[in-house]
Amino acid sequence: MKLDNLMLDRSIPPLAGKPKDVKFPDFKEVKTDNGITILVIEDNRLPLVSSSIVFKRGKYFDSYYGEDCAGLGSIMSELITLGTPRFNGEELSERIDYLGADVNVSANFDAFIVNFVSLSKNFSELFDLVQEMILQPVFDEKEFLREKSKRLNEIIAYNDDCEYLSTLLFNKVIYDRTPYSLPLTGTNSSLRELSVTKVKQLHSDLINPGEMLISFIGDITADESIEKVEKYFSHLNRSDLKSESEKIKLLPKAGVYLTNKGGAVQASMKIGHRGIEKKSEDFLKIKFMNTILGGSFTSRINHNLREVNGFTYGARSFFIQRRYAGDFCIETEVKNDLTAPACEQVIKVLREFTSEKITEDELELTKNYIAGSFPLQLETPQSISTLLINLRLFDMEKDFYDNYVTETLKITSEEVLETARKYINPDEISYCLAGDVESISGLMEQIGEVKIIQV
Amino acid sequence: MIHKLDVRDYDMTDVRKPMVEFRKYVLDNGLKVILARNNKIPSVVINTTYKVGSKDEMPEVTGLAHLLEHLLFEETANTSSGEFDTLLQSRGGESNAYTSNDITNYFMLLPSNQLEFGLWLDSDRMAGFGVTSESLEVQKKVIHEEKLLYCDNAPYGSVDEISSKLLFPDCAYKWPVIGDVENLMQLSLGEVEKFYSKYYSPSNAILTITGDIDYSTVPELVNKYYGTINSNGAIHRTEFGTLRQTLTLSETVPDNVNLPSDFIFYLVPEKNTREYIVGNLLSFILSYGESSLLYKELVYKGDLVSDIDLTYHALEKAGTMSLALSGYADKPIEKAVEKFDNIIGNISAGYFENSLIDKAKNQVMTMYCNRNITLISTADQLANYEFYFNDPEKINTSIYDYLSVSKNELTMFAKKFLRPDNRIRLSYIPKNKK
Repeated sequence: MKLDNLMLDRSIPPLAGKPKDVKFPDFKEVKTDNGITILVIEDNRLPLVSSSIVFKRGKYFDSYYGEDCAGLGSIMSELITLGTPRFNGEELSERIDYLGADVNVSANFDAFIVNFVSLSKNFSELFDLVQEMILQPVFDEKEFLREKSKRLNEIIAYNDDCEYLSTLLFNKVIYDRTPYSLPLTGTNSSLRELSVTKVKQLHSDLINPGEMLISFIGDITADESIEKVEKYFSHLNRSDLKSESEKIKLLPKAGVYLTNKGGAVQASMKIGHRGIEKKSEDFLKIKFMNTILGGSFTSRINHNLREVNGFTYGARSFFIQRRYAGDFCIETEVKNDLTAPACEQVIKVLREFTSEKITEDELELTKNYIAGSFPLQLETPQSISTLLINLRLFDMEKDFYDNYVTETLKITSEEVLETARKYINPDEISYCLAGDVESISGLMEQIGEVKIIQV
Repeated sequence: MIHKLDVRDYDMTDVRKPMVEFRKYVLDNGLKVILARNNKIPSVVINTTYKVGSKDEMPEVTGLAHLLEHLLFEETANTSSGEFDTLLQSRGGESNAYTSNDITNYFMLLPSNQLEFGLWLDSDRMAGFGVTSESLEVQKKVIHEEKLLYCDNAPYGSVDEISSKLLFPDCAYKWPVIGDVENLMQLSLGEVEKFYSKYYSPSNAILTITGDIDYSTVPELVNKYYGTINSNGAIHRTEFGTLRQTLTLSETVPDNVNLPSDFIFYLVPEKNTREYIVGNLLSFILSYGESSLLYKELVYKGDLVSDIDLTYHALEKAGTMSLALSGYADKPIEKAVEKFDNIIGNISAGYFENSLIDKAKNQVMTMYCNRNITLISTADQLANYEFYFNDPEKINTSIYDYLSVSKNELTMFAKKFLRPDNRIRLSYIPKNKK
């Protein structure tokens, strides 16, 4: 038996000290004559430089190159690292690894992004290599074929994963027949349609200085950064091509959809409907509202499914906001025989949440939680860089992050209910589950008419 | 042709040292305290590491350390279930925890003006047992779902369980951290409390605080909340058992997967050894980055498997070096294993370029600068260095150990440990689909 010092009353939590202000780090922003946006944050506490080169032509535009071109942007991002006029793929990776550097090329729906980091003493050499990869990739036919067969194999492996399958199913249902419905890596049929010619076409459209952002964070000065961009990218001509599209109107299509993973003992569930695009005046209110609904450990969804019912290891909700459309999704994984009970709990939580105001305690908790965890977004060069780039990629106000906390603290419980009602409609919910169809379809009939879809 | 690469020397003046400044001291009740100030953001991390893991369990009641973590992670004597996290979030904080074979770790992240509140909440976990039987029943169910998620339903999800059984048949690393879940369902609150009382003593814990703190006021606060907890003296740990000298087992495992994969495990030295440094550097040479030996020969050029991964996983009493080979549907993995054996043979004979060593050292150097970047990881590393090496200063000095590794040491390591009669092999094959 442990005995406490009698002087200390452990039942009363101590009070808080005086909170400190948090500011987004000062950054310098410059536009080159040919239209490239340069963003720099100087910070020499560590001998490292992190940099990102971002192009606005994301994977969304795959479909501009043919009817079935899913995976084009993503395959191009792989090939970028596999050969320039001076070095083949093997030599490139040899040099990058030798510099102790990390180079990561990726394509998401909204942008094509090259992230790279190294010790500051090696950064000039690294930047020289990366610009060469970006501006002069050779797109070797042999590497292309290798990448294609690697991907076909990957798709087979991914199909073992219920979470992957339920994501495909959810996107297929919610983003029906729009570019957002397609898997980033491509499909069995689209991969057969792709060609080096198409990759080259996309690449030449991509290299458009008017749609480029370059950020530098770390042990480098603004002058050095600008000099590097001028040296390697000032010769590029701005093109008239604009990577813009109409906002997508997504129609409600409520239903129960299943996709099969034979023998699975647990089902991966995604429950949701269409949401909204990224640039939205309600961004902070949506974040606030979702934090209470399913965006933190104490949220209603996690509390109900994990802590009250013990149905799952964890459950969460989120709003994915992309440039032209978005979605609202609740995701969790439960044992086969708990699928329908979990769905019933989710809908119960949603109905309550869209009909009753949150309590004053919840309001205060959420304000403190969001304000208290905001500094963490400013902790690493990588996380600062992401915020910085998003600011420009989605045309947000320059002082958006400086006002983040003060704006959050103004939100009222009426506004939370209003936002919940505006963006969540329990009657339009679709249930998308990947699991052993034989075991779960009977149960899921209780929720609604089951449609089985292959993804 | 490989472009000629210049060899760089490791000028440590590049690294503004020391990387992590900290203070360490011990309270009268035996609690070890490490404080590391870093005020880049107005936040603090409170990390409490208890020296208890799955290896401290009895073979017939496994999974207890992890179950206890689930319970204490959200309920203490003065905060009921649900209240713990509600209180914490209302102060702008959040928390998480993990259990390994050796340790149980709880950490909390808070705005720095809430440090005292955080110390109050974290110390309450050490001060007394407040778990209710309602929480116990809910967390049993949650752990059951956790097991389904990460083991039963995950492709190749049984690797950990099966390999531990084969690698460590005679010692307490035999069972997985999550334990025998069916057995766990039968546990009573009394058994859980007994385990708690034995291991959750200040003398069996390390408290690490990183972030925006004031060295002149923190020790007093630490003393107020932790110094008042009594130690329960020396802990008589359960017998660990013995390690095998040779291993040659292989097993074929039919699984609910579409593609075959092989997993090879070597038994290698534990964490607090020179061999761990040498072996870890060797794992960089073999599998870190696309120009690594194994990736190049087995994946990129050889096209024998679709991916590889080699990891040195070191614990307090033993280590493993594991190779994962992700196969193609239509190619035998055997060819990749043969090629791998050739590569290891060459290393054991000293047939490899010095530039490979320099490259690996460059990679370790960047990782070294990059890894202390968050308050959470700094706290976690300080606590781990204290636990495994009794020396948190290693957070600043272990880089020198890596930079001093010689070619001869790498060769000796491969020769001594990467032997065919010192490994087990699991071959996962797709079982007939419905």
